[in-house]
Amino acid sequence: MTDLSFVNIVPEAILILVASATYVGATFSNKHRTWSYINLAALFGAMVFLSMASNTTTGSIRSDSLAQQSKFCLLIAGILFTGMSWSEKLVSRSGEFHASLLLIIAGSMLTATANNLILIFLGLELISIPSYLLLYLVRNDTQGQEAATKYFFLSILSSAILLYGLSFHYGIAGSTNLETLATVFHHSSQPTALSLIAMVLILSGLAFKLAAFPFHFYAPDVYQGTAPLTAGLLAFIPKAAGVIALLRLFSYGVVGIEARTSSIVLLLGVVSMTVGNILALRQDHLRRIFAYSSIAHAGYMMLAIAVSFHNTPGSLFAGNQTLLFYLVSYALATIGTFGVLSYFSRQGNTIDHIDQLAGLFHTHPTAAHCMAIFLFSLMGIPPFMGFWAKFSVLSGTLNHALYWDNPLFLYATVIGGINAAIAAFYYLRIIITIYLRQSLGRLHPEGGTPALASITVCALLTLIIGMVPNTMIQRTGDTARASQSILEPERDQITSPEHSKQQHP
Amino acid sequence: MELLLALIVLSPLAGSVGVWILGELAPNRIREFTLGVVALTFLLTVPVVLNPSYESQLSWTWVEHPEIRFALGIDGLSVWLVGLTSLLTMSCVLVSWESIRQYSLAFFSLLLILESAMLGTFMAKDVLLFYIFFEFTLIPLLLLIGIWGGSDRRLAARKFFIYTLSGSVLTFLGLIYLVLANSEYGSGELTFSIPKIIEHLQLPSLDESSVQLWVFLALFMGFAIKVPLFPFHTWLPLAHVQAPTAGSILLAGVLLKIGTYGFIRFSIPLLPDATRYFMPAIMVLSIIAIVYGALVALAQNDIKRLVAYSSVSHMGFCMLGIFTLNRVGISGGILQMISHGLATGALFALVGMVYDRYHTRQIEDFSGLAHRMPVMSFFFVLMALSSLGLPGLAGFVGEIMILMGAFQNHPFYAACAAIGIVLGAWYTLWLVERILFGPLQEPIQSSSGTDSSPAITDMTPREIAAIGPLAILIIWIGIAPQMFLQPIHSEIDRLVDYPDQMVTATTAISSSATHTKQSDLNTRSGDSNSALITQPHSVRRSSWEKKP
Repeated sequence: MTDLSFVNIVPEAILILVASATYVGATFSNKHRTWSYINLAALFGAMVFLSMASNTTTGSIRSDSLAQQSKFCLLIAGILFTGMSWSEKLVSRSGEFHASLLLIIAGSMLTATANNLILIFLGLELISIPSYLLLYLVRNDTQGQEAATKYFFLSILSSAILLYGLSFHYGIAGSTNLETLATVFHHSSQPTALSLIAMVLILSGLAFKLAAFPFHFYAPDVYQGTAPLTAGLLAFIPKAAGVIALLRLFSYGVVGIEARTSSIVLLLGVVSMTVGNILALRQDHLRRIFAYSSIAHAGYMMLAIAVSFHNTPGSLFAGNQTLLFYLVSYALATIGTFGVLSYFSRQGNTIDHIDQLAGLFHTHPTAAHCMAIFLFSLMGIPPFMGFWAKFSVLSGTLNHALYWDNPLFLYATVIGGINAAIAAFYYLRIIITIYLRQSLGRLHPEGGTPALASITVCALLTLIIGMVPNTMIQRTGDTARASQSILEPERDQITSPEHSKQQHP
Repeated sequence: MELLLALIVLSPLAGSVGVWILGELAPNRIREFTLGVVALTFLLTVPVVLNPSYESQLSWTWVEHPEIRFALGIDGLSVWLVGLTSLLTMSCVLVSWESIRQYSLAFFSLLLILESAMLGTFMAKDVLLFYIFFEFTLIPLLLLIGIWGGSDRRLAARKFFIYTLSGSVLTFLGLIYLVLANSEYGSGELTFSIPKIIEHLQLPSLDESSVQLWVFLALFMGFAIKVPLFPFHTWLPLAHVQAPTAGSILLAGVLLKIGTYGFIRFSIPLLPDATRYFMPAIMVLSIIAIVYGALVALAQNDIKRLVAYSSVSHMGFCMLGIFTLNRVGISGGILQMISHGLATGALFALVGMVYDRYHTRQIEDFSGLAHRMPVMSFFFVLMALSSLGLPGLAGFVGEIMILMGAFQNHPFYAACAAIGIVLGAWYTLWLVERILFGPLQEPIQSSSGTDSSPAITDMTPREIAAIGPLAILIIWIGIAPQMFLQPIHSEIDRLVDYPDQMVTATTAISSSATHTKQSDLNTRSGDSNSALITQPHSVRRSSWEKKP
């Protein structure tokens, strides 16, 4: 039994051990290719051990469907990022770069597999600390320093807020174990005021990771001040880890305050997507555009979270299914987009202005087609994966509005729809620049074949899942149902319509 | 038969992949290959279109839960639109044969993708599948306009895309609402199947709640922009003028019809109360579109722009017919969709041929082209006469039925719309007079120097092959509309079951009216045919005589 449960954390252990060894080894060798191969070996090794993982929960390690699937996706993301950073022209300190990448992946996996408040926090910190290093490694000019400093201070602040929120949970239940917490929250009549405070603090702390309003201010500056690849890493990994942590913490933490929580999350989501999309309209800097786009997508994810607290009958998708699906769709498109930007960048000479992409279609058609697929997917145009993501989010909020007769969700649905149209403006602007303008002839692909291959894999997945979405939808659905049934045995009786309506003034 | 439906939609898609593969092997055979794929698709549609039962339906599971199906089928509303789409795409390939030189590989593959999307939109029997095809027409058209368009193509492409997308996002919400509402107000099951939703869904009437109005408006936004109805039409002239010829043909011939088709498919059967509520407003907007479009067309200097604005006017007629909500009006509206698609599609193709030869479209640059290109002029006059509604040609049948339908409900509206016909005759005949007749005057070509005359030839056999089938159909519909109206009628009888006493009263009249008009048409078909040939001669006798 103990052997089995140990297997569940072997993937993280491998990554952390290899990363530590790399940090030491980096002082002796700065050979980029070597560290790339070691990274790949570690990630594939972790994947082999992940496939052996069992569906057990022992102590602080939970290895349920959600954990396994998200760990799988994060490892894939790690492999894609390694492929995209194949070229030695991207970073000078390759050993440290690769080790930090591994640690970030390990941290996010740890968050996914944590069954303990402290381990969740540790996992999130394991993402943050190498991120500071990474921000500083890829660019050591003034802008890079500004980005690193900004990210560092805000990240520390948000961690503190999150930790404060978690301490309330410990105070209520007297335990840091998620299962114990769940039992206590479901059965005792604890004062809702405490869990409300805790919820607000946790949400604030994690909103920073999600880059959601009102904790989104850092994103444009930080993304602009760093290399495209690091920006892509920051746009996806913290967001994914934040979402998973939020799922874990809110699965019990909102008992008794579902309606209020979902209103707050909904409101933040709506503001977040509107602010992100509108501010992105006037940007010329590519990474700023995608920073705002990432804020807007955080808004859609929060809409999905807001819906997931209630088991609404007649909904097309189960609970957190929407959120997981959206996350995968966002991941593929975002990693791909930043991958394309990184493909044409080198250290000290990144691709910044939207005009630099002009005529990409004429000079580098493969990269251009991939970029178009990512942008159409982010826009939510069929037949790409993003369409299904947007469809599931909007149908979820609309169904919620109809069933619980809640006008807030109806407005959110309409605003979400209008936002999709607003977002089309700036995504389309990039597409038009790529396809319909003459090349300025200054782009040099620096990434090499592995980078292009990683980008193509992202694009093909976006297209294929968009055309044949069944497998992905079923898989996210199974994951969502499995992860829900463990922690919330009595959810159905808790969320009755009367209960929900009482909460609404 | 079921498989045939899937083949119709998927073979152009497969063809577009084939184009890319062929591009590696034999790059100079792309056009022939595309033509083959398009012709094959057309041949596949023929048995489906001519089979009067329309019972075969294809239904493959696409997503298990929620149950979304890859469901295709054809009925009386869509049958001619499917035929029109596959026919016009064939003309498009022929028209683009020489004129597309840059990136021809991408062009033909996008054209095939677009055909697939258009056919899918009309054949989809699943709400989500419909929307996916509906929305997916945007990407190929965006690139067709943007890469191969005129000088202002980037603006045109962007405006087209943003306009259509903003509307269709709201339509999307409306469609999702219909699906979700079906579990509450309908059969209770969660289904995306269009026939099932139409059969079961009964939204609360206006007395109980205003939900119908909101859903109608949501659907309206997307469909009205697509049509385009009067205040939402501003993207159309720009897109039409800047698009390459093939893009204009498909835009006018097929894509505008997706809007009207959406109204007939979703809004009218599912939201009966809201439809009646908004009927006067939409009729007024349609009449504004008819008259305004015609007036603006009168003022144009660019032939393509003129035809584009005439589209606004003619689509106004379609909307007017559909929103008369009676049998004659709706069938007239549907027939007008077809005849407008044929005539305007052909006109755009002809304008494109003129542009290929002279590289200008300004009306004042041309005069007496009939001397230089008699065959082209023949077709141009034929299409122009059809679009102005000359009896014996396709345009007449649709317009007269629309006016009859409108007259039953609102004689005043019908009278206003009739102004549009007069204006239509004015701008069309004036255009024909200015460019085709009179002394020969051609623009000086910059490309081939001063000695330009030998370069200008009449229509080539390839171009005749592109236009010929359209001309035959236009005459055929004009002479024997009953054959084309038959499937439409059987479908409309299911649509128009409004418990409105006025409408039920008029149904009886309308059916008899159709018959009388029918016999009327048949008796007159003889002299209307001769009118088609003689009229331009007699009117333009003087200009013919001035021939040097």
